[in-house]
Amino acid sequence: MHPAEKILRRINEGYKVLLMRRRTEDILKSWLRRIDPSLANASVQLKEYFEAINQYDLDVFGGQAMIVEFDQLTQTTDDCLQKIGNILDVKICLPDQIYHSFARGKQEFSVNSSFAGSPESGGLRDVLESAYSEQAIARTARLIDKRELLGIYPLLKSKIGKMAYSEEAKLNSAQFQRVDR
Amino acid sequence: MKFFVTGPFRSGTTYLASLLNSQENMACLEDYPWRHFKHEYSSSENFDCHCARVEARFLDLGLAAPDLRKSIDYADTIDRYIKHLKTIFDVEHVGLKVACILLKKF
Repeated sequence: MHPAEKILRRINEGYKVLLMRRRTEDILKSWLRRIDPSLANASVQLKEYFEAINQYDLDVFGGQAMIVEFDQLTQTTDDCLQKIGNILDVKICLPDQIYHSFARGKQEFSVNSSFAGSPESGGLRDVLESAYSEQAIARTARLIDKRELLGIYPLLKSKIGKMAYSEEAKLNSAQFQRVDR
Repeated sequence: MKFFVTGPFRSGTTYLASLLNSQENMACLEDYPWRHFKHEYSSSENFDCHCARVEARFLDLGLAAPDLRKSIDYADTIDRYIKHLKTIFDVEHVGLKVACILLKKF
């Protein structure tokens, strides 16, 4: 977790902040496939994260933070990078080669978890099977966005559990029981 | 100029950080030095142990290790660390990337 207070602390130390935002439903789908197959875990943590960063309210950051929309970054990359360059006060353009982290200048960035499953991934990481339907994930995303998940685990478990059991009972119920403990 | 990229898991932080990391005069690394060090250490040996771990990480990547052992305090350690990143990657601007971490397990 990197809550608003910590972000503010870094801003006070002279850092500018780029805060990524993606549709909740898309995050949940990706999370369930790559990190943890439990929708309950994913939704609670996502909800807590959104609360910790004040639901993306930038007012407290005094103009030193910018929200970067995932869809804009992937669809209109040049425009998005230009906007980022404006806040960072540096010219930023779409690079020919992309390097990840400490591999800068050494090894081109072509395979990360987002590409797992493709032939290029070399089978680095398998995609987790989701026990939830698209509708269940969409409904949970709406609950998170409307802030209707109250953070009380039994209630959450009940809400998500009903969805999972009613829509996907035949699929991977053992997986859900593991989460249910 | 210093900056950092953050956001929830699976929101594109790695992609953005990589795009920024690939600019001519800018590095953006998956790192959060505030996590590497404590504000206070029980002894100088204890601080040296922490420094050695950080140094080993750099050496393992084939990079020069930062000289942090002469730091006077926590803030100075972080400053030295960031300056070292600028030096080894020969850039003027450094960014750091941290995504949200898992808080609770059920």
